[in-house]
Parts: sequence; C-alpha cells; structure tokens
Amino acid sequence: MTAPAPAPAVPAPAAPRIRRREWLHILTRAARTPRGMVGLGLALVVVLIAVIGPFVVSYPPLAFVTVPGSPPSAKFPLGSDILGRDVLSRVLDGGWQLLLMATGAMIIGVVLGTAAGIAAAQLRGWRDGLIMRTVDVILAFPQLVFALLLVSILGPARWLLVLAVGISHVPQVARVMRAAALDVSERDFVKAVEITGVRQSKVMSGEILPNLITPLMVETGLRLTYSIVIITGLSFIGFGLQPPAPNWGYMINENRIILTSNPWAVVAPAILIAILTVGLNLFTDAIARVALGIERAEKIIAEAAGTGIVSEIPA
Amino acid sequence: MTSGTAPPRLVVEGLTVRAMGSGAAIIEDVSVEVAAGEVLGVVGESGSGKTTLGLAMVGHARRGLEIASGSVRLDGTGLSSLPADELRRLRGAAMTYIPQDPSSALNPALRVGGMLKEVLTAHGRTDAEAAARVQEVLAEVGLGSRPEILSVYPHQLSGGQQQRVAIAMAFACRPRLIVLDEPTTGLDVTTQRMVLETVARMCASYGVAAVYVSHDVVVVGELSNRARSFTRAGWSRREQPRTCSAHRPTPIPRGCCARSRRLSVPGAWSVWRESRRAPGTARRAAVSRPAARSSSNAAQ
Amino acid sequence: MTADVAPAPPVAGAKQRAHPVARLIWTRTALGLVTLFVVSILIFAATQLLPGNAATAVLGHNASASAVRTLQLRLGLNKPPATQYWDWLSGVLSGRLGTSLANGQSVWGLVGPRLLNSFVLVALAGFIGAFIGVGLGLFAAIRRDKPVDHALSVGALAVTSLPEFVVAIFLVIIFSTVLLHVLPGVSPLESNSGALKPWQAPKELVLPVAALVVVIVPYIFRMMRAATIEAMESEYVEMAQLNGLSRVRVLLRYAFPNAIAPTIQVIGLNFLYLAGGIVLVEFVFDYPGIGQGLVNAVADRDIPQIQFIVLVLTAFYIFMNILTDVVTLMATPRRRVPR
Repeated sequence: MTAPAPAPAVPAPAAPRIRRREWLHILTRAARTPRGMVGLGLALVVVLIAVIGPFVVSYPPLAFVTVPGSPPSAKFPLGSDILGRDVLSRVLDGGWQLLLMATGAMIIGVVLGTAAGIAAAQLRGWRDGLIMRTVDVILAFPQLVFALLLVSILGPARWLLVLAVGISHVPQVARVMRAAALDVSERDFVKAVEITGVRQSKVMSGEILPNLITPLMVETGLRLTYSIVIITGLSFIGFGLQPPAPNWGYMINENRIILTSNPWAVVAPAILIAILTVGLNLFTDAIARVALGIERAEKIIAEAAGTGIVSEIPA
Repeated sequence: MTSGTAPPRLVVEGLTVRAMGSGAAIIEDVSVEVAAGEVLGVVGESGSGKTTLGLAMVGHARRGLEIASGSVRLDGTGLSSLPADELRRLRGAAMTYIPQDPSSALNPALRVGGMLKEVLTAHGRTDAEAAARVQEVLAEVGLGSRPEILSVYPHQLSGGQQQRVAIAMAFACRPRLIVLDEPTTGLDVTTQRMVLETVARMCASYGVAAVYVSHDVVVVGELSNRARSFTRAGWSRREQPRTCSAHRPTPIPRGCCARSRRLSVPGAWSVWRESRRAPGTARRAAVSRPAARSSSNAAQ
Repeated sequence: MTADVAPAPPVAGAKQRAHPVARLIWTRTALGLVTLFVVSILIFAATQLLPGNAATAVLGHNASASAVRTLQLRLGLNKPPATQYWDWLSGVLSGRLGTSLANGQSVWGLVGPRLLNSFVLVALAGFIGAFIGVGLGLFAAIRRDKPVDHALSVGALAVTSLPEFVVAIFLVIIFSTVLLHVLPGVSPLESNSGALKPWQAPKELVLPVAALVVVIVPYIFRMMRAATIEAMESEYVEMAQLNGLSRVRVLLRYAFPNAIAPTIQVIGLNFLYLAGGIVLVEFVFDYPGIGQGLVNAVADRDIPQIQFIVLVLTAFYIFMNILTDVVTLMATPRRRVPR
C-alpha cells in the first residue's frame, strides 16, 4: 500500500464566502433598516450628548448656583437640583463615565466569554465540562446582585464595578459562543482543514472565528445594553459612581424628593437613559434581523429577557 | 374513463393560480375531470405546481397564492363560490387531503386517537360514533391490532405508520374526493409498497374519486387509471408542447410501463393522454394506447 | 389486513412516559445543589475572606486595633477559613442565621417578613406579566400585520430593555407625584413587624407590580407572537384547516399548545430576572422586601444579612432554572415522551 498523499489532491470544500469586514457590512445593512435607523439615531444622540456634553456646560456641575429645586428658567433651562446645582450642566456632564464603564464591562465580558466559549467548544471532553460548569456558577447570581456582593466588601471603586459587571456577563457570552463554535466546527469545511493537520489554534483563529461574526455582534450589542442598565442601576442606589460627581443614575435618585418642585432633575437623566437603552436594543435587534432573518431574531431577543440569557445564536 | 353515464365527480376548468404579489402564474388554465372510483395520476417535475394543483382541488390556496380564475366543482358544487363555513364542512368530510410529509403534518401536541376523533366530531359524529369509526378505519389501514396506537404522539411512530394514520384520517369521514400529495416520499421501498397497496385498496372499496400527485412516474403509472403529465406551464400534450417552449413535456416513458407490475385495480390500466379541451366541448374518445402493453402485462 | 412491514417500534407506555422528566429533575437538582454549594463558598469567601477583612470593612479603616480585634473574635474571624465556613453553613441550614451587625437583631427576624413580601411581589408580577404577555402575543399573532399588531410590536420594542428603575420612576411621576396622584409612591408597609401583610394593603402593591410587569411583558409578548405565527404557518395547522376544523379549534388545540412551549421558557427566564429586578424596584417604592433589605445591608456592611439574602436569591435562581426546564419539557410531548 502506498503512503498517503502528503497533501489533499482534492481541493477542500469551499468555505462559505466571508467578505472582508463582514461585520462592517452587517452593520451598514442594519443601519439602513427602519428599525436600525431609529435605534442608531437614538443611541447616537445620547452618546453625543454624553461625550460632548462636558465641554459645553454653562456652569460647573459641582457648583451651587441657585436655590435648590427651582423650576426651569432662562438662566437654568432645566432648573436646579436638590443642592442647588444647575441640572442642565450636570446632565451634560453625567453620562460619559457611565458609557465608558459600560463599554469596559462589555469588552471584558465579550472577550473573556468568547475565549471561554470557543475554548470549551474546541477542547471538548472534560475540559469543556469544567469550563462551562465553572462559568455557570456565576450564572447563578443575578447580575446586579453579583456586583452588589463585591461592592459590599471592596467598596464602589470604578474598576471594581467594571470588572464585576464584566465578569457577570461571561457565562452568557460563553454559552452562546460555545454553541456557535460547536455548530461551525461540525461543518465540513472546518473538518477538511483539520484533516490537513493544521494546528488547533490556527483552526480556531483561521476558520472558526471569522464565522462567529453574527453571534458575536448580537451578543456585543446585548451586553453593552445590559451593562448600561446595570451600571446606571447601581449608581441609582448609590453603589456605582459616587457623588458629588454627576451621573445620570444617581441624579434620578437624589432628586426624587424635589419631584414636585422641579421634575426635570429626575426626568432629564431618566429620559436620556431610556433613549439610550431603547436605541441600543433596537439597533441590536436590527443587526440580528439582518443577519438571521426575522423569526430567529425575534426569538433571540425574546429569550434575552433581562436576565440576558439566550440559549443560542446561530452562526 | 367514466363508468357508465354518471357525471364526473370532480371537474376542474380553466384553473389558474397566481402568486399574489408578483402575479406570476403557478398553474395556468388547467382542466381535468375525475370520476368516482377513478384514480387520476398527476406527474410532474419538482416545482411544476402539482402540489398547488392538488390543494386547489380541495379548494385551498397556500399563503401568498390565490385562485385567480377558473373553477373547481365537486359534484356540481363550485368550491370558490362557497361561503367559508360551507367550505369547512366539506373539507375533511367530503374532500380530504393526504400530505406529503406526515411527520410535520400531524400535530406534535396531540395524541393520534384524539386527532382522528376530532376530525369526526368536528363533522357531526357523536363521541361514540367517532370512537367506533376510528377503530374501524385504523383497522382498515392495518394499525388496528395495537390499542396503544390511540394514545401515542405522532413522533413515536415510524414514517410508514404516520402515513397510515394520515390515510386513516383522510378516509374517516368517507369522503367523495381524495387528493394524495406524494404520500410515499421519504419512505423505504417496502413501506412505499405497503402504503400504495393500502391506498389502492381503500380507493377501490370506498369508490372515491382520487387524485394522486407525484414526481415518481412508475408509482403513478402503477396506481392510477389515468395519468396526466404536468409541466411548469400546464398540462402536457404528447405531440404538441404547450405555449412555453422552454418547457418540454415530460412524457411517461414507454419502457417503464411495460416493466412495472400491475396492481389489481379494477378497470383497464392505461395511460391516457388528453389534449386540452375548451370548456363545454364533448370529451374525445379515449386513446387506447395500451393495447400493446396490456397484453404484455396480462401475461404477468 | 395488511401486516406491518417493518418491526414496529415499541409504543411507549405509561411507565416509560415519566422517565425523561424524572431523569431531568434528578440530574438538574443534583447539579443545582452542587452549584448552590459552590455559590455558598463564593458568597462566604467574598464576604469574610477578602483582604481588608470583614471587621475592618464594618468598622472602617480608622477603627482602633482593639475594636477590630474584638469584632474579629466575635465574628470568629480568627479561626481557619474552613471552620468559619462550616460554622456558617451549618448555621444557615439549621436556621441559626446569626445576628445582624447593624442593629443586633436576629437575621431571621429581619429578613423573614421581607421574604414573604418579596415573594408576593414576584409571584404577582410574574403571573400577571405572563398572562398579559401571552394574551397580547396571541392576539397580535391572530391580527398579524394589521394596525393593532404593528402598534403592539412597536410598543413592545419601545419598552423593552428599559431599566426597571427608570420604568418605576416614570410610573411614580405619572401616577403618584406629578401628573396624577392616584397611587402611593412610597410603601407604608412596616418591615420589622411584618404585621401588615402585603395583601392587606393592595394599593401599595400596584405600582411596584406594574413596574415589574411593564419590564417583563414585552419579552413574553414577542416570543408568544413569534411562536404563534410560526405555529400558524406550520404544516400541521394547514392540515387541520384542510380537515375542516374551525378557526377557534385550530388556534386552541393546534397553534397554542405548540406555541406555548418556547414561551414558557421565556416566562421562566423572566421569573429569574425578577429575582434581581426586585432590588431596584423595592428601593424605589421603599417596599420592605429582601431587595430593599439587601441594599440596606450593603449600605450598613451587615455581612450576615448580605450573606443570607444573596444565598436566598441564588437558591431561587437555581430552583427557577430547574423548574423552567421541567415545565418546558412537560409542555413538549416530543421531548417528554421518548420514541
């Protein structure tokens, strides 16, 4: 019997065409759908306010400028807050830190979760079980409670918040990416590459990763949205960003008492948070629809259910 | 071929089904008749619209399609002119349909016995009558020997058993017309055989008018009294292709007719090619091609 | 009579029918207990073993060394970690939850009544939300692509993913403070005495429950709508129509049972969500449940309370997860009954 041929004489089955910058392509397509346009628009408005806001404040956000709880006037378009600071200035300055922290948490969650998920999918066997069981323990905690637990001991440091929220995202991302990676690695073109003896890590980065764009994008959108929700929520109860630095979450709480005299101190930050989360979610929905079709996208978003738990997003 | 002077049970004239959005015709200007006790075979390529035709014969159009013109008449009653609840009374009782894929056509959430009973009670039988009839018809399809069959879910049955349940459901109310849409797809040869024998037997004993749609020429040839070949553009004519020259008619190969085994179905077996008639004109005499073939078959 | 050609597969009898469900319950419960065990270790480690130990955390960094030592002795912090953990765990399991560091009362006395209050909140919000979500989803699916459907879908989109505290605040603004003054914005239920049960003061429940319901309904609605539409387009529904069954019958016996299965899973996930969602909502309305209890305990660095409440929440989470999977399985004959 002759030795086997050193390289396959038959060309491997064609890999599905992955355009370069497939992710960009999906994003632009999603941005053109009505849903995507509205979502992106809403989110961008708030992001712009948050990012540019600090540079256009008329009064220092920490300064006491007038009578507390006074209604809107010409000098103070949104009135003053409970300590007599200009609400508009505080609103303009109150978003960027939240966004930064939420983005950080999202990145941590997505990177770690993807690594864990793909590793589990590729390694199989007991290592797979080990990784997923370990990760699932975190899943037993509601995300907010997990962060609260850590904060209760180490105090509300910003890095801790980002880390805690990020880690609480890991199980979900890992599950989704693992399911997608398993699905992809079962496909023929990956097996064909594996047969040629390419190293596991190259298989992972070369063949599998590019095909996980869709679940990755959808998960990123979901994680960012939930990061914002949780971090503003923590700030609301005082365990997130600390006063007196302005932040939208805390402003909503501290100005509740003066709701009757100047509701804007509460309403303005609340509306901004609402618009941001709704916009982001809409855009993520648009991405899912463009990439997966309407029925599947509906089911995925429905399963996300605030716990952020989705069983799988097809690759 | 019609038996005696009884009028044909199912009359389709000039039937056109279009897609609602684009207006493209799925089937166009189709006319055919089926008599009681007769089995009409409809053969065609995939995508030629034969399922659409089959569904239209029971007065149904899939989502996104509409019956644009023409008529379908069952024993003289025009189906498209009926009010919805009249149509519903006929469906399942007077005219029934056996689907191609029973595994997806049977409700996964209901038990077999319940499904069968439901069709009967929805059409006026009492509980007791329905229960008795269910037993009866299950026995006829060969599933009567095991009483547990009533309490299982469809996914617990094999493909052949599922199909027989579908057949039982179709025959339960003693219909006048049955449309069978490739009911042997996906079954292994032996099971196919069994399903076909069941269908042939029951068609004969019930005296229903049956339409058997398939892409499998041999099967259709065996089962039906008459076969019509069906291309994208409509009925085929043996000599002259239909207007759409891009589609050539799919003739039933002569060779296979001679080779295939003949089932014992009453009436002479033959392949009958009929040219399209203008509505109202008298039927042409049957072209008795089979003289040469039936002798070789009779020899079997 | 034609004989079967292939050997017929054994038709599942009643005895076999229970197996997949029973098996699932056993394995998941076992797994759940193990997870709970590990979680308890995590909770304990986080609260008592982290650097800057518990005593310093409670007393602050400026506390005198002797005060810290006294507290350490009192908390048993000088013992090896494993012993500490065992002490704590055995205490929890036998009902000795320790005393609160904040006010010296027994933890159970503080948290017990809160458990009931939160339970009522979660149960009400969960079931009402499920009911409304399923109903609306069904309705929208029947009236598919009509104006009502579009309105509902857009509405669900607009509300979905709103943080629950934002929803709660909006409700307070609309109904109790600024626009209308119909409902109380703050709950008068006393937490310590537990004398006033939630159902005795229904008005206090309306807004908190409403806030939670608003958050969960869109998810349930969307899934029910999508699943119902999928069922309505299925071949078995077409078959039922071809058999002449009435519209109502087709909807109730063919579409609904098949659409409800994935929806049940979403409902279960939303119950899971509620375990975390009550924290902020109770805070907004000053509702004396364990959510508010947790926030107060964290503020006070009251470790025994924190430990116990987090343990309860995670146990609920794990349990609900199992329950959801079991109920979903039961609703899907294809998986419940083996071939």
